[in-house]
Amino acid sequence: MSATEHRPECRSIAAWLFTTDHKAIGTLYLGFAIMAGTLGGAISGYMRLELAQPGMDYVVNGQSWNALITAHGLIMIFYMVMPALIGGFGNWFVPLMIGARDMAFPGLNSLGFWLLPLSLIMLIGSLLVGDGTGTGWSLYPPLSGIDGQPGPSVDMTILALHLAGISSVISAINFVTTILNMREDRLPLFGMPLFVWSILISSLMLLLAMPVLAAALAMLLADRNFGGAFFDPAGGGDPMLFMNLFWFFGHPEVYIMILPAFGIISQIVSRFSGRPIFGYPGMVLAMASIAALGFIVWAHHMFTVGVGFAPRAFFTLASMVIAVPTGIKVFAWIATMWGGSIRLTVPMLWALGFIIMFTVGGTTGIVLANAGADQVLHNTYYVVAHFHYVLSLGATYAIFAGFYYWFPRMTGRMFPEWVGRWHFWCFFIGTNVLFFPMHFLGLAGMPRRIADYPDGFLGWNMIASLGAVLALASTLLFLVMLAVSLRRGASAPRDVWGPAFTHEWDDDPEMARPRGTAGAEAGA
Amino acid sequence: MSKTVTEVGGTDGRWPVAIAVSLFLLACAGLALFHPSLFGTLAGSIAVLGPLVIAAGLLPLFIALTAWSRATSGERAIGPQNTFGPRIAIIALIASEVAFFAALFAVYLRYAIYPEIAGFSSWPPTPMRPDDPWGGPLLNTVILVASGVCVAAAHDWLLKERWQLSAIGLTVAIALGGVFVGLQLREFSLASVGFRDGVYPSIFFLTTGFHGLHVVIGILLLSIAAYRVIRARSAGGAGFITTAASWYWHFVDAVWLLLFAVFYAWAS
Ligand SMILES: [Cu+2]
Repeated sequence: MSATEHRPECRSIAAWLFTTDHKAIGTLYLGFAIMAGTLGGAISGYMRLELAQPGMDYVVNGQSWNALITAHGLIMIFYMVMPALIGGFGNWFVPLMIGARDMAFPGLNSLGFWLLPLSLIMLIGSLLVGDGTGTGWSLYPPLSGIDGQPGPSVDMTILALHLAGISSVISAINFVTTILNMREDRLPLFGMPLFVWSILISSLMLLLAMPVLAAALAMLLADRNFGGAFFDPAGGGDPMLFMNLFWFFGHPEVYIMILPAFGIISQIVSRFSGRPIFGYPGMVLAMASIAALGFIVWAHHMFTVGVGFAPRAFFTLASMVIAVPTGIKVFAWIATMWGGSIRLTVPMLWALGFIIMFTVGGTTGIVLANAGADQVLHNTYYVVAHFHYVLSLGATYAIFAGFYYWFPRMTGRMFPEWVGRWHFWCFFIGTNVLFFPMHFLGLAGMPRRIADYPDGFLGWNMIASLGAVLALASTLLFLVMLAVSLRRGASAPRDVWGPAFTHEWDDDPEMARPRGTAGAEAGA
Repeated sequence: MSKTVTEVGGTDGRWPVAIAVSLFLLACAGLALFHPSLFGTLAGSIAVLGPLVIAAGLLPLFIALTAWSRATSGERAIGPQNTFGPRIAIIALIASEVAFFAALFAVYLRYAIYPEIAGFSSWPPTPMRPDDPWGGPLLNTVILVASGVCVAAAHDWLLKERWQLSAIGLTVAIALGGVFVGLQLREFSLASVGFRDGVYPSIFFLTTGFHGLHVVIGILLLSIAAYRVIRARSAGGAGFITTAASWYWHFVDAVWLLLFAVFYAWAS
């Protein structure tokens, strides 16, 4: 590859720092996501320790409890799931799948990545300085206002989110340009792998959703520091307006995270069923309609704050309609497997786990879409169970599925199958034992965002804590396996998963790692 | 592989990192302005600087952006040798800006259409009035539309390889943009209400302020375009920046027309 000779050899820290190669940046994103995920997971482990029995044993007060919740949520969303699914796999495989040499703007790609660790530093700072941001990730005023949280933490969180938002918009512009302009000859839009479609649609959603969050945060910042009255009733402002703006971003954000997961699952299910995906155009249209509907359902997060009757009816109906395109996707995955020759490899196990668990999370989502039911369940652990089923058991399963699926392609090495299976089964059992009891706790009325609980809730909480131990142990197993496989993994054969339908595999085996990279260092 | 690729953008990987760090420093400057005590012994000098801290925070960003632009003539998209890619990128960028301003307009309209929910009997809340729209704001509208016409003409002339006329058009547009910013600053300084006087001035100043910021960015883009046109003396040599800057300028124009209609004409 003569054209690549001027690129830095990624052997030194400086080479990793200044690389503009899409594969190297994808590796950086994945390494960053693993580190951030470990941090976010450690925070949740600490919170589970507190919840293991009634009383306040580790966390000093509700404010620091809320600060931990905020940090865990924001880290997992902005610094784990999005960097892994969009930045990591998107950078690695979108150009390869469409036959482009690199992303359209390699420099902007690097800028988009490096903003994230700096932003995370700012966010961790907000947790360590003063009382932390005790607001939850939704940052509602007046709790997030200058009277509710006078310290610097909320301002640091807002600034961190501004940096992460700039990064998201930059990479969204890059993906849209790359996908629309750099497909190899005669690859039509409706010939693109579903993963590429999912990144395209997610990027378009980012372009429209992220700036709305930026505007809301700018106004919150102005309220806090310049005496603005956007959300301050004393000056005529309306706190509910912030909630509307936040969820206009927040609900699409959920689909920004889950669409790339759908894309990965589609690739894996098709590959290990030995046949092309069932109903390809329907799958594309389902993703597009999920994205479009995602922008008109935001008020289902606000049923308990005084939404009128007609809007309640509308937002209930619109939210439930999303189950239709989502169901289309689930049935298309099943139809793909139907009559296919299924191979239960490690990535396929994760993909099956995703389909089953995401369906559970989707079903409780339909329950919560009902304004009446949501009135009762909104502030309970039922909601915690719901969104962990779609994220912790949905998006995260897809990340692991993609990671195992593409690991041989990214590193040129193989992981030990048996470890992958142990990891899957321990994580599958662990996360279900952890999160399923939360449905019962929620239905029994255990409120979320409270560090303590009455003795009556001890039973299910103990079971959940046992599940957490298993889930965290399996994550440790994954990290150890990763460290070992990166150095000592057997070299992966070209046709490691058998015949492929997509082009990221038909590269030269020499290219199996970021150009010029000694594979062992990648992501270690 | 790389079937369609004909050119690799000459990107020096150091500048993106420098820009990321500069943006982080800018965020730190904002934090220093809000909470000087966080920065320990620096707190005293931050208090003296005041809002100038932001200017200090902008400096590294400005240097890094200039250096990157000089080093690479802006980042050229890699991919097929056409302007389709850069066009998509600019449209995507403008789409995200539209979403940003849409959020600001939505906030304004929320209060303007339902003032009673916020406890007002009218909008703007009674003692406050926007400037007479048919005075200064109308003049500003004329100025900005005129500069938009100049940019459109300059772009057209450039495509016809009449680079002198094009450079003149761009220069006049930049000058008109400068006059607009000056008049806006004057309006702000003469305003009878301040940002802190309630939700109406808050949203008024934030939206017009962000628009003004975008005018300044547009002026910078037009200046780069004019510089390139004068140096290269041809459309090909000037590159895509003229198109990008003109599209951006038209977007800024359109936002102003909406601002004029909603914030000034309708409100009075
Ligand atoms: Cu939602």
